[in-house]
Amino acid sequence: MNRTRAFLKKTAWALFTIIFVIILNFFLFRVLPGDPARAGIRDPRLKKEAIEMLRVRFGLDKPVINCFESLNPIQVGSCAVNPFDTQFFIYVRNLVQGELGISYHTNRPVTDILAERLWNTVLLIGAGQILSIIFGVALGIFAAWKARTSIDYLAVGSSLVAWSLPTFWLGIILLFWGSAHGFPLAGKATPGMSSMPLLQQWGDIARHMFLPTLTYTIVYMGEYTLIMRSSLMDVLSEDYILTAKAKGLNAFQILKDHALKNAMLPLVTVIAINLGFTVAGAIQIEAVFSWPGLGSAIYEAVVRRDFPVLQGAFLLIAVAVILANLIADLTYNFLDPRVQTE
Amino acid sequence: MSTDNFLELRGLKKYFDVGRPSLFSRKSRDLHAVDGVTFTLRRSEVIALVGESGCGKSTLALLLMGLEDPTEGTVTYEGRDITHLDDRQRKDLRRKIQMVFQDPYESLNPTQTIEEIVTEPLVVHGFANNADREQRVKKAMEDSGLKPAEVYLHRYPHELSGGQRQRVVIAAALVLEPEIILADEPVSMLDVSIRAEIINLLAELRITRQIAVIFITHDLGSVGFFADRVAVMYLGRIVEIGTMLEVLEKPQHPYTKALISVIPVPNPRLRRERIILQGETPNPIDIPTGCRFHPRCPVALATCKASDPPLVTLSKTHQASCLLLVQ
Repeated sequence: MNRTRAFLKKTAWALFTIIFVIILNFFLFRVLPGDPARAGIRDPRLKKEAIEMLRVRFGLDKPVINCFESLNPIQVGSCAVNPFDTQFFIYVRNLVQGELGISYHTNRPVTDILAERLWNTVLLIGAGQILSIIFGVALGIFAAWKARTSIDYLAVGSSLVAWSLPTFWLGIILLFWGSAHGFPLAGKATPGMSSMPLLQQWGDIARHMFLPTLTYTIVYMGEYTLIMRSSLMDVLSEDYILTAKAKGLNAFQILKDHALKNAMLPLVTVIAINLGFTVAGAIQIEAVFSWPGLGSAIYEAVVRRDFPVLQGAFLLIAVAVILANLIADLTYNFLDPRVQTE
Repeated sequence: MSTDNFLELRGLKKYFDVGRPSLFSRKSRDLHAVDGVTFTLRRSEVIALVGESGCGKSTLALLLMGLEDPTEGTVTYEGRDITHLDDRQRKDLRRKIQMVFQDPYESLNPTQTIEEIVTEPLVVHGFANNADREQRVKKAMEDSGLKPAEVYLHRYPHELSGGQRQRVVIAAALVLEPEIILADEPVSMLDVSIRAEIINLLAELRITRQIAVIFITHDLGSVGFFADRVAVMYLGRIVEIGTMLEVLEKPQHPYTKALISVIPVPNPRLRRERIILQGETPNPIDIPTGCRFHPRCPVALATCKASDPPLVTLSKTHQASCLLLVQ
């Protein structure tokens, strides 16, 4: 009962936050200076009629929002217009129908662009995340177990270095190294591969993924190692660990039955939030390795002032992060009995 | 069953290496946590170890539990040397000696239910499949005052009060049917009203289950209820040891006198002069020369600085180490 209520409450808050993001996301791009119709095509020779056509094409000729005369005395927005024929209403209606508008630059629906990029990003960053979690947590446990020995110092030192390496720099270095060892340098697949058998296609993608995934894993593994180590060392200094020792549990039993479950708690939050940001991609890595993911899509959209794509990407990232947080909250509830009763 | 030599400590020492005092020193320094402790515990006897914080009582407990390795000295249990044991031998011994820690808020794993906590020692020691496992768990809990046990089995530590938690800790110790319980300040984190209950519980166990108790405390006032003997520790050494009445009524060491004089007495007509010791406990890294109590001693003589007094036997059971007693 209590659990269900907590679940509903947290879900309601997540929904509320998403609605807030939707509204904010709309106005964020409307308060930018400059004419959005000219943002996409920056040719000064563009004729007035052509610009007008562009406005109509992207719905920019419509008023942004009606002013709700009776509600706001300072009269923001256009008054005396049909509230259902404003950009805001159309934006919301499209969202409900699962549409994010049309890219200024490519003229394709934003949903199509994001969907294809999203898959690439999840493939690359997801693999990197999973690998860095597995290796980072394992190394963190090992370092905490061997605390204050040279193994521990080596693990902590290298993790700190790895975590503070600039991603793009490490990427470029690995790119140099990889080029000498026959790894593909850019993109997701070798051109012409789509006519090959499926297994060979996958092998090709895997080879393309190797260097960017390695870069990502090295950098983020450091983070997980450090968090896991300090969390586990905290737990290992607790009295109930000493109690367990006094009861006759051996080192492995203590780690398995008492320490790890408690030490994983802070990590759950970090993992969930990082998984949320997976969607955002890693702009630097995707740029260095020309990986056609969301990160590079955002980068290109910024350069081209392709507002609909940016708007869609922002919404996607926000929703992913909010959902990841919600999942972290609920997992925490499940893992830590102390949270449930509160 | 011999009553003597049940548990015997001889010249037990534990020094911790605290590193070099400065970058340019050659020698690293030692912290003398326990510095030559000798006493014996008889079967189903309650002995109270009293001393202020930092005097080495908790280190002594860890040495007895085999959680720390002594630097010097021996511990014998039923005539067998148990000072240095390998893990397997130590594990058998742990069944016999169980420990109750100071802080029941810290010494219970927050993610385990009470049932898991009390059952775990049985599982670890290979009683997991015995048919009477459940019975033993319930008996230990009810003996510890968690009645009826069913109410508590599926709760988590955070749902219990401090006193109830300490009862869980005691139940988890009892479930292995130990012969000695080492209680390290078991009541100092509890409300005063609950302290008496826990102390009474330990006193009962000693009668019903013939368990010997080593009761570590900084509060002389709480030991009078049930201790047979009292040992007063100062800076890693026992400075006075005797039966409860000898130590509380005829204290001989100036430190014991000071400790007793500050036990609060509720009746204002019976107020007496308090001996307030000056200064802090000296650092156990730089132990004072001669008698280690002399810098704070209200009756110190010039000779106290020079010679370290031995334990003087005052009666068959009563010993204290003070130069004034030697003369």
